[in-house]
Amino acid sequence: MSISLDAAAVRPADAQAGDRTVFARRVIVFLAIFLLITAVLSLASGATDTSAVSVVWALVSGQDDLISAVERVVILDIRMPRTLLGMMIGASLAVSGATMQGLFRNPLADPGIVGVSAGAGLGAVTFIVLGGSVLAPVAALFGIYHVPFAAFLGGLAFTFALYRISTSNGRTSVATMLLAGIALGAMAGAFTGLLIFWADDNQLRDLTFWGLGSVAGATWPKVLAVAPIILPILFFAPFMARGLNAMTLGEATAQHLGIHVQVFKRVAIVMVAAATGAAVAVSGGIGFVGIVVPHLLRLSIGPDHRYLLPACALLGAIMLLFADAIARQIVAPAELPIGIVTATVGAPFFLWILLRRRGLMDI
Amino acid sequence: MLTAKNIHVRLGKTEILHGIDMAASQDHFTVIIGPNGSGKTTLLRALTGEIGFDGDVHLNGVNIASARPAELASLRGVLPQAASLSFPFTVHEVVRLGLTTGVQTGTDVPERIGQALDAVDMGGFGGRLYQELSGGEQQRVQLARVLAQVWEPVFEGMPRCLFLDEPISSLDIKHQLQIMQIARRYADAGGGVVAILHDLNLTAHYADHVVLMKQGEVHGCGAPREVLTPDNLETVYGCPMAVGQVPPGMDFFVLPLIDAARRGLASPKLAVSN
Repeated sequence: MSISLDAAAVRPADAQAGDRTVFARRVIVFLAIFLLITAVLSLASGATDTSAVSVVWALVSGQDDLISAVERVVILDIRMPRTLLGMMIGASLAVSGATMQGLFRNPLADPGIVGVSAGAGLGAVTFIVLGGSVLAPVAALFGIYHVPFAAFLGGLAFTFALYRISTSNGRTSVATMLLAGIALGAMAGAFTGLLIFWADDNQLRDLTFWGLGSVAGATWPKVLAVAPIILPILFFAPFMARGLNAMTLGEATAQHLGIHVQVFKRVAIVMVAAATGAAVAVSGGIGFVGIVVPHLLRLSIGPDHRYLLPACALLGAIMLLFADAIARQIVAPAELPIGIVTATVGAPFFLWILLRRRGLMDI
Repeated sequence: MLTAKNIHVRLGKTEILHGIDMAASQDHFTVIIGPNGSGKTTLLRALTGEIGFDGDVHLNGVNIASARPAELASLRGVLPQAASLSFPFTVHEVVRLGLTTGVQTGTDVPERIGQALDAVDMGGFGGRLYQELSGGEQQRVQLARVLAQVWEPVFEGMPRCLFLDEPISSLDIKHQLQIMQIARRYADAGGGVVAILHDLNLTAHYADHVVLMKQGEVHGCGAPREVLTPDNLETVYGCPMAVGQVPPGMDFFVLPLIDAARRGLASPKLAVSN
C-alpha cells in the first residue's frame, strides 16, 4: 500500500521535473517583501536616531506630529531620495548586467567589466567638465537630463562597438569580448583623464566623489532625472525575456524560434546602454552589482529570463541598499563611497566565478 | 511545399553554392548527402533563411527571404549541427525554449515537453542540467526542443517542416534508428523532413528523396535507388562503392570497397550490384 502511495506521489513531481517556475515565482514574492523591509530600514537608519516604526507610522497615517520637523526634513529630503535612488540604481545595474549577459551568452559580461560603464562615464565626465563652457548650449537643451543623456550616448557607443568587435557569424568570443572591454575601458580612461586635466578645482572634487561611486549626493532632482529612464526600462525588461532565452541557444537558433534577431539585438543594446548610462550618471562607478546579482539568482531560480529579470531588479535594489548601509556605518560618522563596498565584495566573487568556470569553458 | 530555385551563396569572395535547384514535398523524407565541403550545411542554412542568398526559396508559398521570423517559426523547426548553452538550464527548460513563439496547440506546456522528451528517449531527464549531459544526450534534447516547436506535422491545414543538420552524428546505433523513425513518422503523418546525413545506408533505408551534392552543385536527385548508384557515389565521394541487396528483395546497402585498388577490385562492376 505504501509503495503504491509513493508511486502516486512521485509521478506528478516527475512530470514537472526541471520546471522551476513555481519556485522562481515564490522567490520573487519573497524578494519583493524583503525589499520593502530593507527600504523601510534604510529610511529609518542614519545619523539621527529615528525609529523605523515611528517613521513608517508617520508616513502611512499622515500624522506629522509623531516625528519632529527636523526628522521630517531628514527623512523626506535626504533619506527618501537616497533610498529611492539606491533602489533604482541597484535594480538598473542588475537588470542591465543580466540583459547583457543574455545578449552576449556569457555570465561574465557585465557593463562594469567590459567597458560600457567606462564609456558611460566618459560621456558623463565630458558634460560635467565641458557642460559649463563648450557644451553649454547642449547642456541647456537637455536640462537636468544632460548628464544622464551623455552617459547613455557614451554607453551606447561602447556597447555597440563591443558587440561588433566580439561577435562574428552570430557567435561571441569570450576572450575577444573581455580583451576588447579592457581596450575600450583604457580608451575611455585616457579621454576621461584628459578631461580631468582640464577640470577646475570644483569640478575635480565633484569628479573624484562621483568616480568612486556614491549615492550620498542623492537629491530629488537626481531622482527625477533618472526615474524616467530607469523605470520604463525595468517595466519593459520582462518583455525581452523570451528573446533573451532564445538567444542563449545562439543567434541562428533564436531566429529559427521566431525572434527577429537584428531588431532584438539593437533594442537590447540600447536598453543596456540607457540603464547603465542613467545609473553611472548619478552614481559613478558602482561595480559588480550587475555580475553578482544575476549569478546568484541563476544558481537558485535558474537562467529563465522571464523570472531572472524581475528577480534581478528586486535583489539588485536590496543589495545596493545593503551596500549603502555598510558604506554609511563602517566609518561613521564619515561615509565610504559605495563603489568601494561593492568592489570589495564583488571582485573576489568575480574571481570565484572565473575559477568555477575555468574547467567548463575556454576562458 | 519547399521549393528552391537557382540558389547562389557567397561567403566572402568564394561562391559556395552555384545555382541549386531542389524541391522537397510534404509527406516526404528528403535527405541531402555529399562529401565534406560540398555545401550541404550552407544549403540548409539558405533553405531555413539563416543566411543571405541569391535565388528564391518558398516554404508553403511563403517567401523565406522576406517572411517574419515568427511566421517561419510556425512553419518549420531547425536542428543545428551543434548547440551549446552558456547558462545552467535544466533539460525541461531547454525543451521549453522550443515553445518561444507560442504558436500552439491544445496540449498544455509541461505535457508537450514531456511528450517531446519521451519521443527522443529522454523521458525522466527533465530535471537534469543540460550542461551535464553527454554529447549524444544533448543532441537528443535539442531534437526534443525542435519537436516541441513543430509537434503536429500538419497544423491548421498547413504542413510543417523539420530541417535537421546531421541529427544522428553523435548517437549510438539504437538512437540513430530511433531518430530516423521519428523523421520517418513525421513525414508519413504529412509533414516534411529535410535532413543532412552522412550514413548512406540509413539514407537508403529511410529516405523518399535524395539530393546528392558535389562541390556546391546538385550532382543528382531522386529516389534513393536512382541516386545511390556505384557510379554516382564514386564520382562524388572519390572512392569505389558497391551497392547490393542481402537478401534479394530487401533494402539495398552501400559498402565502401576498402583497399579495393590494392586488391585489384578497382571497378565497382566487379562487386555485388543490384
